[in-house]
Amino acid sequence: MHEPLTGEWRSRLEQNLAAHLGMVRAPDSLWERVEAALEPRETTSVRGSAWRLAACLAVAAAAAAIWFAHRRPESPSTLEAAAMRVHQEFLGHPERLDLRTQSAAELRNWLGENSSLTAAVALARPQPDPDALELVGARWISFQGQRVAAIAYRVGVFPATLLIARARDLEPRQRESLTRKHIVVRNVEGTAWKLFSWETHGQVYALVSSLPDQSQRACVLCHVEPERRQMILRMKFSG
Amino acid sequence: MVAAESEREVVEACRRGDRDAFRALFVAHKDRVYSIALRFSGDEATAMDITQDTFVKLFACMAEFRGEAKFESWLYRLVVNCCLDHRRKARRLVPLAESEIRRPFLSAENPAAQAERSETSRRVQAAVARLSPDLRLAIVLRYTEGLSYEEMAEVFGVSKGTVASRLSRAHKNLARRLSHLAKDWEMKDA
Repeated sequence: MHEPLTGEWRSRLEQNLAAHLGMVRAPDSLWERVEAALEPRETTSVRGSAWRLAACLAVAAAAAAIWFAHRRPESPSTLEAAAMRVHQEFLGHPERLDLRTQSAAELRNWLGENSSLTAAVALARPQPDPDALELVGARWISFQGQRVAAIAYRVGVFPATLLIARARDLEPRQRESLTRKHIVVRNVEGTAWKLFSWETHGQVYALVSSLPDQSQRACVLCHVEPERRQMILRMKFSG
Repeated sequence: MVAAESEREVVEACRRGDRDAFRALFVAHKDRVYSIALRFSGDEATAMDITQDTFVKLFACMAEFRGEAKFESWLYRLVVNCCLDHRRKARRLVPLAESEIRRPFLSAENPAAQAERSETSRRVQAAVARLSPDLRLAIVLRYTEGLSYEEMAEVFGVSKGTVASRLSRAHKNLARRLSHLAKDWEMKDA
């Protein structure tokens, strides 16, 4: 924990920060730049049309994914609720981790040594990393008497928490909303968070993302391949 | 500032694609967006780029704004994201210290006082420039925009405790870097 600064020095520092970091007037030329950037491009070409068709197909694919993701409005499962609780704890007490590491390899080893869970956290990230992903660590939580792993990380400045549980350890009721092969996406009431949950290869995942824009970018913990990443970023969710 | 009621109307008109309404929204918020961008990047050209990107993005996704959050909070999130995007694209930013901020809002000081103020500003901004992006954004939103902990928590999507922790770390860092100015500030206060 960081002790707060005390006394007059803190007060003077704050006064001077306010005095020297105040608002400035934007240059008058800004509107012309914005307006120019808003103008539609008028050049067309066969290649442009092909790109447009490809874009339309991508949008259609994304729309289909959204339809799949939103067609079931059930309330969050208790595993999802646990993910939100752990995420909240991570925000307030980032020091409460069983493993502090920025290394994906170390995290994978730790999981393997202490459980039969696996995490496909990318071992190598692009340099420079366009998502500025930073692994923070992991902890165990007890869920229905089973050990569930919670991985804490940040995408830029925004925290994200990923819970991983063994599917066969969960009660059927917990798995009910996750037995299909698609991702369930929920808005977390009263927050800007998004909650993603899915099941694959015998493991159930619940991911809470604090990213206010393109919350699905939290998926880049594992998906670093450019095409996959682009596909993920193109997905849009309402709410 | 645009009054709340008329801002709602302006936002609604923007959602219908009304370019004049968007101009009004731009005029109402351009200084705050540019200020955040400039204080974050420390470079006027980068700040122009970030501001442009923010408004272009704002226009493009205006339809997604559903009025559930405050418009300003939504706008702040866009600026914050654009700042971070630019930082990722530019491998190195021009340090704030190399950029002189030439347009203070209020300037009624004599030339000597202005020069002294400018030097202090340069040092403060250089210290801010050396903070990590998340701490720097917290400082900028707090002291450039005057956001409360609660508002910052909403913009960053974190708890108030996290905001407090970031500001505390940033203050300690800045206090260490600016300790050489402590005497000057003390004398001015005396």
